[in-house]
Amino acid sequence: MSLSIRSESPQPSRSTVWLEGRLDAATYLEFDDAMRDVTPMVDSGGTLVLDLSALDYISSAGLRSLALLRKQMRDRDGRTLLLNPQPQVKKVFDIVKAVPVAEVFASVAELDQYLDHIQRQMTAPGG
Amino acid sequence: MVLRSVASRLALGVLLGSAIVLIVTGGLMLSHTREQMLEQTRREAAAIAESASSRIHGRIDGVARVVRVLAGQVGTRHAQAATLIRDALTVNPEIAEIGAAFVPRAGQAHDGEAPTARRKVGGAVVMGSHLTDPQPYWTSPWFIQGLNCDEGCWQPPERRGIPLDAQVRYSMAIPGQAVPVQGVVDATIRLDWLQALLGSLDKPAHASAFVLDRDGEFLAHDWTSYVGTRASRPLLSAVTEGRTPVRITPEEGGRVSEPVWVAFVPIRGTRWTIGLTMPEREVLADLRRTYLVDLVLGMLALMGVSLIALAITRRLMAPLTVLADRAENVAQGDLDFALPEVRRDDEVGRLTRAFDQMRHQLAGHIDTARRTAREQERIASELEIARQIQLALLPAPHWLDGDGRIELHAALRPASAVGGDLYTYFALGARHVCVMVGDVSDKGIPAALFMARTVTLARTLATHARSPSDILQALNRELCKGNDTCMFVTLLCGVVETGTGLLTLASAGHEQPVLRAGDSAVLVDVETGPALGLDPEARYPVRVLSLLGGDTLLMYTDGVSEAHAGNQRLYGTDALLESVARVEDDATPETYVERVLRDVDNYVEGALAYDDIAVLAITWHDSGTEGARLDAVAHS
Repeated sequence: MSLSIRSESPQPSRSTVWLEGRLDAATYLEFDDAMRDVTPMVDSGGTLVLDLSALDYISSAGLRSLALLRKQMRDRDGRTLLLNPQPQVKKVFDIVKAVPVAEVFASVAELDQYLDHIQRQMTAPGG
Repeated sequence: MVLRSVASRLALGVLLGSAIVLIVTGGLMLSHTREQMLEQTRREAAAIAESASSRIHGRIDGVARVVRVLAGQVGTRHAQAATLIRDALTVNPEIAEIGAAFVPRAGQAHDGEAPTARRKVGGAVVMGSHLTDPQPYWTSPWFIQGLNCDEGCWQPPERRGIPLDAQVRYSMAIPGQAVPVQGVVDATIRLDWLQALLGSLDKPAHASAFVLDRDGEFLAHDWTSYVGTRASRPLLSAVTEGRTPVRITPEEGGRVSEPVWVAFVPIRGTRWTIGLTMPEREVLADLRRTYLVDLVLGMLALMGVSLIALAITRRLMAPLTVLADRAENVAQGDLDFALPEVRRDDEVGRLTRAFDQMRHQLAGHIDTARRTAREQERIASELEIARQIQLALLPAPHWLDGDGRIELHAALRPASAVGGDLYTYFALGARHVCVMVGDVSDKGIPAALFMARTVTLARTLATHARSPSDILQALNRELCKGNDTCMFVTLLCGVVETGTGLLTLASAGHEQPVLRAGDSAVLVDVETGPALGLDPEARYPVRVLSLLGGDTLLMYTDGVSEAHAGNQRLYGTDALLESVARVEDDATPETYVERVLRDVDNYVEGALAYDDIAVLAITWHDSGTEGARLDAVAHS
């Protein structure tokens, strides 16, 4: 099984990447390559959303890629949010905690709410 | 095999192709030339026959004129008939005999009524009379026929014994005053002159001439035996229909031994026909000879062309032959050879140059491949050394503490030469033993290096700690330093108090261990903290449980729980629990490890391991202690 990656960057502040298949030792390099093209499209302080609803499996190598991606985004003051992982993937996140649980969302609404919250915090005077 | 060479095949092809063209065009030319030759022969024959015909005509016309003049003269000068005919015979040497015969008056012929003049062999003229004929002349057919010839006519030839001595008579009625005719004047000529004339004709050597009379008999023929015989039916019908020239064959009934061509023309003033017979073989002999000569010359020319083609092709192909040999060299792996110097810019030149280039490139590739292979060999040997070093980082697979209370057994199976899974154990002070099983995120050399770092750090850091939580926190902080590649390791750390069997567990994102207590195998629910190396602030809660005698704790990496082959389902913790539960009571940790590994191997059915595997089983032997199981969770 392999990995397929699709991305969309409708606005510089937010890009979404859809992952489908397996993110493991055999495919993580492909993922890293693809993300090297996507991350520069996101502004500093922007948000990169990884839609994991079609991701069937993630291995520790995949987790490392996600952690690396998150670190790179954080270095540019950006955020990496994970959306709607399947239960088995969610379970891996829960166990390994390679990404903070707070950055994993079950739905777009939840994610938007979180982003709204962040923005309000940033724009609120003295916030 | 001569035909294996392209050059000889080309030459042979040229030869064969040209030969076919030559034969076909030659055949067409032959047929055309044959027509022309036949036409020419016909014209030639017609000319000869025409000239012979005029000569014959001239001669017999003279005879006819003499007879006509005589007929007129004796008609009025009856009495001088004898003198007239004698004089006429004297001045016309071609005539053999002249006679004048009158219709007898009152049925009785008188002397002088039928005088004849005949030339004797010596040339002397002898007078005679028809009255001496054995049959009365007025009843003879020649006389009666002559009476009917107002304009003169040739009588059928008369032969006296031998055919060559034949004579023909020209008769003409003598006009009378009172009666229409009063007699007949006739002149006889011998036919030997005709025969002689045929012989003197300027005709081709192989041709023979003949003269046919109106009844279809040969008056004269070069083949003297034919004289006086009747011509063959095909010839006669051709003469009747005026078809000239005509081809007559023995099969059609011609009196010939081979196919002949006959051309003929009628002789004016007579009802004779003169013809020339030419054997077809002779007519076409020249043609055949010419054709054969042409054919031989053509063949010689073709062979010459083929030889030239062969030579040129050989010359052109010579470098190709060398190239073919060299290509065989290449096929056998020999790339070190000389190629002929080619300055030509044609296909052969290009091919040679490309071949040379290809050879050099191939040599380069082979060299690169050899170097790569050597490099790979070197890397493989380095990996093997690395593997041994990595294994040397780990403690012995089996360990029994001094009291014999704690027995543990571990196994590490990297998927490749080196791997990122690890296990380790060491004593913490006198009364504690620390065990760890971990899994670096990734495989191969980076994972192995990270693993080495982890194991080394763990031993160093753990000496000052007693709680697995502290150990993990310290280790995590160290691993986070400079970890730009975001490598991380999940680690399960347990500390056993050797005296009591109290086990404290902390997990950094690692798989839950399996506890075999009594007959059951359960997962020990350890709340995990983040994997080591990612978040320097991470905290790790501990889980405390008290082992009873014979309890075995199995720690493993995801190489076990996620073992699979191809698209197979993952092995899973349920299968693992089942596998552990099936192990008989009082088994050694070694048995647990071996059983688990064997079950995993059976599950993947010999497929290549997908991930590194580390398994560690620790058994608490304390039959004397029968305390209640202490189970507590503490947060650091």
